[in-house]
Amino acid sequence: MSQKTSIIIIGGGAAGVGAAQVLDKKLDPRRHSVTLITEFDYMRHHPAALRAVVTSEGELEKDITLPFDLIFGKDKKGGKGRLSTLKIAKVSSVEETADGGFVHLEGGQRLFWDYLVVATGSEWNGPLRWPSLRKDVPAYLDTWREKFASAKSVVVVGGGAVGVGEFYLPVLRTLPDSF
Amino acid sequence: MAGEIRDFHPSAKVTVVQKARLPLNATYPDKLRQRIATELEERGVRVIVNDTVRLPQAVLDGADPVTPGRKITTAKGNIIPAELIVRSLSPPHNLISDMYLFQVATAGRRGVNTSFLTAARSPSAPRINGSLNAAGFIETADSLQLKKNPRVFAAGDVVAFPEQHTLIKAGAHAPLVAGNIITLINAEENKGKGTLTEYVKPTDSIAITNGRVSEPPFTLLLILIPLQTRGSLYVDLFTFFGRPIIIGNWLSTMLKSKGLMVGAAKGLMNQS
Repeated sequence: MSQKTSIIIIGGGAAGVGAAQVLDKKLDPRRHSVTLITEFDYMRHHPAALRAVVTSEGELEKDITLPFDLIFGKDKKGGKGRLSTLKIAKVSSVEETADGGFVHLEGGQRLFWDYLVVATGSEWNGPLRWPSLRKDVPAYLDTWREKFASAKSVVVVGGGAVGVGEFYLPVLRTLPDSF
Repeated sequence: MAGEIRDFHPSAKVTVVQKARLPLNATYPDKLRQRIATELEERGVRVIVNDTVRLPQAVLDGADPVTPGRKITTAKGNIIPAELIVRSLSPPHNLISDMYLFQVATAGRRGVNTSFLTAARSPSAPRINGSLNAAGFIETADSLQLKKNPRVFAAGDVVAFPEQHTLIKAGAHAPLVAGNIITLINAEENKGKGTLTEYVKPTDSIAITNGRVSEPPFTLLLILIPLQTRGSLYVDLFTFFGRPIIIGNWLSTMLKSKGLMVGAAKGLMNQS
């Protein structure tokens, strides 16, 4: 085989990271490569994001904006795995060929794929639309926290799970039997 | 969010305005939705249903400042003190396309991050373009492969399955997609055939906390756990004679309000 089989994953949320970690463990570095492309330089842990917007108590942002450098193992650095590479970049477009295609990045770079995974997630609104760079998060949150602290009245528009409470409960499968 | 605001900024008057007749969407039974409304009101949150407000563009952009003394009037004439307006729409549910489009039209939800895959942005990817549904979700086979291009997979919120999009789904999609890619690669390298794994929808669940106070009656936690078997039949795991069981506050404190599952996320990212 002249060229390694290339797998590109777009999106650094739980789905993209989870898939990349499995592939990194199980594929063969001599024949395969994985590239995880993420626009954000951190993964936000969604269930705690609302709380972090409303209050600085607990400084949640420190714990819930998680960098990608160790995703392939604590002994690995810079988001590099056995056969995986992390790329922090925005995808501008995708191209298909007969047996694969290309991902085009903003700035002009082009990456070949044999297999492509799209895991780009939801687009968030209002106070949940956080900046894409981790270093910009504290200032962004401060702005919202000041708003909540100074307003004598607040109207929440939208009565979904986000509006009325927090959201997401990923662990129900691990509930105790007595539950 | 309303509960959180009450909790951390107790002197603020909090109002929730929504288009639907009850909080949450119709996936959840009325009893649960009614209880959320009641408990929010018990905590001093005013809940206005079947009503809408016209939002200034600055609110949509998240740039609207606190405006002392401001009041707004809803479509039905309710006058609400509104020094701060927060647009707090749920993440996409994508129950069925029609319902989703209805929600888009009424609530202005943005949806999923797939606009870079449209024909306008990716003109050389016709099979991927053709796999986006009207709301931007990606249509896949049960193997999570695009039906139109089996070398392309979708995972997480972007998948157009009729399910609530939560972390639990992302966690279930990830290993399945990885395993199926490995199967395809092995089949290609060995000139053989592999059998792909098909996705079975895991438990649908939602927990809503109403702030961090753990003593009843201030905390509410409502969990609904329908389990879908193959086909369209729903079996409610925690259903008693057809009624969903609503579980008290202890679990809320344990799972959501205190820990907020931060440890699990740190574990995934090897940051613990």
